[in-house]
Amino acid sequence: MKIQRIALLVLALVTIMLPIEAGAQSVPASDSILSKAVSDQQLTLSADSKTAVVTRCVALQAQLSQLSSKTAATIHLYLDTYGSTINDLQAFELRLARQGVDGSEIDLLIGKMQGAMDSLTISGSTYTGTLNAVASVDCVNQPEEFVAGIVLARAQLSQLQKSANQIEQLLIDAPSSTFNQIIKRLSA
Amino acid sequence: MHGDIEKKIEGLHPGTAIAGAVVISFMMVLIPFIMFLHSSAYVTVKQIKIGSQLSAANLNGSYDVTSPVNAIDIANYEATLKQKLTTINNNADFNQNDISNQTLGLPAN
Repeated sequence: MKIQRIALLVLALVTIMLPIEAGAQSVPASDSILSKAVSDQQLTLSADSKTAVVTRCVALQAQLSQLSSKTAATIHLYLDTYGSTINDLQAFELRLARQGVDGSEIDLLIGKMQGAMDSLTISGSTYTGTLNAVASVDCVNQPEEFVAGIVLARAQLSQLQKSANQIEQLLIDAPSSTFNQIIKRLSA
Repeated sequence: MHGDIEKKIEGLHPGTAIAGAVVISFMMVLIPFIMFLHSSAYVTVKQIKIGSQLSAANLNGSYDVTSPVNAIDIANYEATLKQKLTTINNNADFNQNDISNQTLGLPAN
């Protein structure tokens, strides 16, 4: 009787653990991203296109892998540049606070920059993730996934560029949106 | 049949029942936790954390946070910022042509 209970308990635990393992493994699968891309784009390749893709695929995978690394390094550099700018702005904000001058515009700018940096990080991570997935497909058996991944990466690159432009624009607009008011306040 | 089940339930030791409930509750917490750790969401969270750390004000010593600010300081910083932005070139760094079919030598869709 006791053995039966223990066996039931073990069975219950195994039943619980199986979906955990399956769920944990299935989430980051890059294959599923590309399969979904093929399905979403309803992509079919003609025999000629397929041959052309298979022929170029391996060389392009190395190229795309390099592009992914280069893009990741560039994003890191951007985040570093914007991060140091935020540090500068925070230092100004502290100095202004010490002398009793309102620097809330700087606070607002920092908040917007942090939001834009998060957006840049996410879009960059998505884009480089797709490039890496494309760089590791089976060229012979998955030419559709390769092409669909490139199309998907193009859309994600567009989003990445938008995020990068957004944060740059914040700083281009900073003189009129932020600094001029503070200069006026300090000059008054 | 119904009586048998009741007997079995009655026969269950309260300690065993509580231990079973605790184990199952633990598993139910563990399931989403493990799934989160393996998810791309966690990878993104880690990357955002790194970005936040970069942007976090590490003002110990390397930045002047005490002296009063003059209008000229802000104006000078505007110029510095403008100079800094010249190192940024979104269009070249995230160029759509890098992955165009033409550049990659792939057949047009």
